[in-house]
Amino acid sequence: MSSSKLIKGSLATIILKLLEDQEKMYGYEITQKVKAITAGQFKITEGALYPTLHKLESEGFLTTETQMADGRVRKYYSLTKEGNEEVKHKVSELEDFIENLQKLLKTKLTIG
Amino acid sequence: MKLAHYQIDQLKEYISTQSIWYEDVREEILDHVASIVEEKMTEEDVSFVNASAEAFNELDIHKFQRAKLLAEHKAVLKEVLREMKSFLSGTRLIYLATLVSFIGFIFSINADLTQEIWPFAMMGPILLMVYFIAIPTYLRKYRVLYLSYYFSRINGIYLPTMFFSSLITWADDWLLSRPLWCIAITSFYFLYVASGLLIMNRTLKKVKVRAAQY
Repeated sequence: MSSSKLIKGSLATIILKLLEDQEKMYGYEITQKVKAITAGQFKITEGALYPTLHKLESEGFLTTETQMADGRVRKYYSLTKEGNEEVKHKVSELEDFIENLQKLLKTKLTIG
Repeated sequence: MKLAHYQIDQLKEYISTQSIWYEDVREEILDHVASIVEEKMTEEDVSFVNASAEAFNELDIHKFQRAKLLAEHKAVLKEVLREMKSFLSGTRLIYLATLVSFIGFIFSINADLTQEIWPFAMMGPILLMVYFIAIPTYLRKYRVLYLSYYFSRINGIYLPTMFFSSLITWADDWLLSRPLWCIAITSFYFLYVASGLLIMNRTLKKVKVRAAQY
């Protein structure tokens, strides 16, 4: 399984966490931030990013505002009150998952 | 390196030839593509034309539009249910109680009167809803039918309302002979309509803010 498929499962959590740390971000800025933090190891494609952003917005976790920037309309995403609560829940869920995965990967299985 | 206005216009022109109907979708695609082009021209030292071609190859803009519409349509139903749920507590509960009491009162006074006002009661909310299509469409500066979030709300709210209204009208004899069922179902119907109208009002305000900005 490629890392992009592994990232896809936790993309919502990544986006919510980034927006918790930064008041508002636009789509391209999110992809660049992830690339910068992970030194290029994680690359989020537009095909994965925008459906996730739109889904989070439709679920009420994100709100949007548009502004003129660099000669075009830019849409910024930010967390709603429900989004702020959801971040904690999602991050905790992912941390538990990673902890259990580490236990599984370190386990040496024996026969008999 | 920031793109010049004529370069952004060229990207805008290309997107407009690609059957991207909704303006908000076009704006988001344009911003993303323009950002990629700026990065490529700065870091990879490629020309505007080559950078644009690569950017459009990377982004499936039709899939983008489809995914956006699907998300918006799903959002509408959830939003209506949230709005309806808000009437079950706080001050809005008083409005709901008033609505149910009024419907019950109409049924209790006179069966003939109920029969008379029944068609108007069903059609009235639909006429109210037409306001949110007719006026903004007439006032062309809002271009509401070119905004995915407005269009999806029209679909998500009006179509079920017309379906419910038709169903209730079709079953009117059955309902009118069962007052309790009739009160419950018509209360639900009017609650759905009221929630839809509140959402459309908020969405229209959002459109007006957007129109004032640009």
